[in-house]
Amino acid sequence: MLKIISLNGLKHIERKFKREVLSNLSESNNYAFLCRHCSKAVQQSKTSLPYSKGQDAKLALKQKGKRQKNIPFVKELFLGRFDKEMLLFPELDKYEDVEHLNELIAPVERFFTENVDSQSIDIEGEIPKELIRQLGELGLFGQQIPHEYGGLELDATGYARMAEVTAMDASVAVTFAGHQAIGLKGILIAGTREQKEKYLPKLATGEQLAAFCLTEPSSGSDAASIQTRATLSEDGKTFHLNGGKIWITNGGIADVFTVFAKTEVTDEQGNREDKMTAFIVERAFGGITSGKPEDKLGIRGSNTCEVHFDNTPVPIENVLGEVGGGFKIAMNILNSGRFSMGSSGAGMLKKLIGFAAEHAISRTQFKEKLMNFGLIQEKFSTMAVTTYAMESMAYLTALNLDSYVEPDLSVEAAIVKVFSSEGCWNCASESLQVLGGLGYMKTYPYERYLRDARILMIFEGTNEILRLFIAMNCLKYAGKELKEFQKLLRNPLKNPSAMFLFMRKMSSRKPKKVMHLNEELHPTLQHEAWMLEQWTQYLEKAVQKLLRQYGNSIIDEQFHLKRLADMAIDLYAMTACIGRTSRSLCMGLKNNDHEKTMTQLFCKEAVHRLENNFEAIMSGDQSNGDDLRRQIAEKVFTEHGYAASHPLTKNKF
Amino acid sequence: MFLSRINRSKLLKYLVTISSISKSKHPHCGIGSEHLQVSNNLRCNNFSLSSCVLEQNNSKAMFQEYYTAVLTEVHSNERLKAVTNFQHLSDPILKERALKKWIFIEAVNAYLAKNGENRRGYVEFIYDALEQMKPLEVHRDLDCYKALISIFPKGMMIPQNVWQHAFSHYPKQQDCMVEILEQLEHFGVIPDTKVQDAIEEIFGTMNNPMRKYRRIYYMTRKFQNRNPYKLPYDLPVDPIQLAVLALRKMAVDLENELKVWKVSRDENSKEKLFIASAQSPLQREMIHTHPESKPIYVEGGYRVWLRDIPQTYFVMRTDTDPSIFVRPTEEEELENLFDFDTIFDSEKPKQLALKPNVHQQEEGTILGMCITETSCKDSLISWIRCLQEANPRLESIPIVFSLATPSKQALVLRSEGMQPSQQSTNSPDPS
Repeated sequence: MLKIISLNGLKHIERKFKREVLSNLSESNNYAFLCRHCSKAVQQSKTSLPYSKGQDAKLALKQKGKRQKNIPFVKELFLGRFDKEMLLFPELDKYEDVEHLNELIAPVERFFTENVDSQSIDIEGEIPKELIRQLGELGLFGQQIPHEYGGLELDATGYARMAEVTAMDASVAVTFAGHQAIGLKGILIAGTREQKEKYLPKLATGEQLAAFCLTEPSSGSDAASIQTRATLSEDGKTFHLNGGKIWITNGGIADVFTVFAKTEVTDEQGNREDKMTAFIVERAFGGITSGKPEDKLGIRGSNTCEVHFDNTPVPIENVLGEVGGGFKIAMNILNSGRFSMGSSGAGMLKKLIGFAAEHAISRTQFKEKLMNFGLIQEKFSTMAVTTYAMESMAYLTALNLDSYVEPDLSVEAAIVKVFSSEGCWNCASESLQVLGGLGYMKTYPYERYLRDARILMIFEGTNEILRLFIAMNCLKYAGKELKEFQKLLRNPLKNPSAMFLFMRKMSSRKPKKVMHLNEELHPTLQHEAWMLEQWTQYLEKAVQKLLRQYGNSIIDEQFHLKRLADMAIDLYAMTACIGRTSRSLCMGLKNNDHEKTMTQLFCKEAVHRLENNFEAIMSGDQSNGDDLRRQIAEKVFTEHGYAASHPLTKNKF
Repeated sequence: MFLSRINRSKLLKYLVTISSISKSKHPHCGIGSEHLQVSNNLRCNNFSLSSCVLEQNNSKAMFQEYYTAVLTEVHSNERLKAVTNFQHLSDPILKERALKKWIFIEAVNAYLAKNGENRRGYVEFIYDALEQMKPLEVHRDLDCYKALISIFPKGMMIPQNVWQHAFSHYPKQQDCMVEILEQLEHFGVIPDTKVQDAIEEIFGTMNNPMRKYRRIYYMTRKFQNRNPYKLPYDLPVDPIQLAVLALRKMAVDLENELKVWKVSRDENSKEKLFIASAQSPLQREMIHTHPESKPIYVEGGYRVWLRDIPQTYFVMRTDTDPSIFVRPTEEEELENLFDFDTIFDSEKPKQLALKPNVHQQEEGTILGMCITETSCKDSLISWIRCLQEANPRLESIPIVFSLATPSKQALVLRSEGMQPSQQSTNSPDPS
């Protein structure tokens, strides 16, 4: 094993070297790469720090060992380039780190199993105040808040791990998310030192809760269209907030709100313009009213309601970031919180699979145990594989987030969110199906999990919007590089060399083995490595075809954008699974062969989906049915609903 | 149509009773009582030729004469008048139509009664009747066509041998039947299977009328639902409903809202005139953001047809910003190639703002549409006033009336000059 690694390592070093130079990293220790698989941290040896002397020493210490920027993995995939480093599943630095995290998790897990009665929370539609106080004592309201403000200061990985446990009760998990994944994230990301000192300590203990106020009746996914206004008073010291926000998680119980509102901004040319600004608003400022809690399908215990601002005075010190910079902050907050849905979903599913497996083992039908039926086996394999992929992606993303100072992983986080929310819904439904009629009953938790899982596809950016987000961002990245070549191609007679190159590329239909991905992996995963390489190349082909065909208007071709996003999702999931399995195999973790079979199955199914999407992109609108879809939808809209005649209709004559 | 059929049978029931009374009162006097007898006897199958007056005078009387005779009888006979009052129909126009149809069918019945088995000259009679159908406004009524078809004698024209099959048997009669079908098709009437049965009884299965029938049956069934703006088979007589139908046909915005106001002509008169108006929220939004310096035009009257009924409509239009139709030149496009500005990057992505909406056409932006009862300038001013409720900004935007009818003067309307003297009442969309 070691031999393989060292052989692979040598090639790796060479390539790495080039990249180091490119990304202006001053120092690299080659030996570190050899050690990656052997549980030694790469980061420790890489001590180049981008900070000048004057900067906060503590921050520098924290950032120590982190590299500055990552190569955006999925974006690169759109160009047909595969960053092999992603196949090396990252890990925590030391064995002690894992121990430490487990120590942190254990009491929380115990608390959740013993003290949290999800069923009564669901029925009552409220989390008891006492429970919130206890959770606060555990420090769970300040998971990502630094120690100096009284928080747990978990990094992304720790946060993801904690989410896995807190997801046992979805209402609590959503309350947490509303509080710290979005509610106070703005203060963490863009707050000044004073703002942090003022608000974070109380928020960290759960004494005060935070809420994130962006959505309005007229503005759901389209954050830029909000109507709430903040007008600056004449003395220039206070803003007055006016407007209404809807569906605010924790809206009725929060004391600190991150509110987004339009303010008038004068730009350099002297033009006045309405731009979004973020504010920290305390309930104590006055003029804030909350509606009564909404009655929802799932996550019934979490508090969701309308929040109205009626001339609420906000001192100018409470502006988050700069005036007019609210849109960026909102996007950053939303982008940074998504990765944890993978681990929380996996946490929930692991539990469900356990319950359902118990049932399948004990239940007898037709003188045969349920577990011996193929149709049941199929369900369990799907659930396990989906959970495995979900978990792998979530931790790959979280660990990567922790190893860079300025990580560019928003696309990956969105991928995790889309995949895991859909996985949760499907698997919760499958596990309910295993129990049949029992699963449908309120006495069992399955229907609650199913109801709770439904929200995942809707909030923190609907999956549709996130698919566009994934595809558009990647295309934008790819477009920058492909621009010159495409320009030349548009006038082939003037640029025969470009055309020749293009023709040569098109004529080679089948992908060639050029990436040698298997060199990074355990030898048994050779086939999966080849699939990954193959489909990376196909993805590049699809991207180039679409860019060539549609030019700038590709951003309006949502059918294709969705397909590209789905391809990216599958490739990222495959990468995560393969990398993780390879690591487990190399390290000899428990049940590593099981991981291998799961990866193999996942890759098989993913390739199926990839094939379909690729074919649909390459074959064009007439043969993939897009034009039919458009026509059907158009008819439905012009008829204001289902348009076909009833099957019993006869013409009168 | 279903309704009218029921009413017809009801009427005939009345007729039977009436005729039995009138027979005893004035026997053999005038076409009227004779016709009642005809109606009665036809149903009792004991009709006698001797009771007909017309028969001796004019055996070749054309359809017109039979029709007039029945009409006079309806007018002169009080009992009959009461019966043909069509009390279930509220609208006088509908009443008149029903009466015309009734008389038409009774005229055919009278002809049948008077001419007996040999029915000389019935082809000419049918041609005459076909010509009269349009003026009598029964040209879209299948029952009337069926009545005409029932004139043909049954059985005797079915070919019996190969020669009759090979050469058109009774060609004049066949042509006549084809002519009936031709007219029925021309006016968009769809024949039912009863017509097929009748043709089969008259001419057999293989002949020109049957071929014509099959073709009509095949095509009309396919076409009857093809019109995306399908109108009801019988157009409403209420002008408001007609206006609403016309506006609905023209308004392309799916969110479009139709509104009907009723305003009085002036302060003193109690007469209410309607104004039907179509405007969507998007159009209101465009008016809301319309600069005060640019005028809005009210133009018209344009004509739109609802089958054979014309409607005059007016549009509120403004000039479209031509820049939204400018397509980037090839160089510009190459320059900005793949330089996307997505909804995730900035608050106001430039690509999204530039798309023209459904109302923004190159020749102008349509801000509203209306049909008024009088189609005169005053009614359009009332329309603008009504619109001001939902579009307060219209008060400050100059409005130019450029009307093709009735006067060609352009009139500029400003808020100062407008006193809301007319009382306007809102009424919900009648449909």
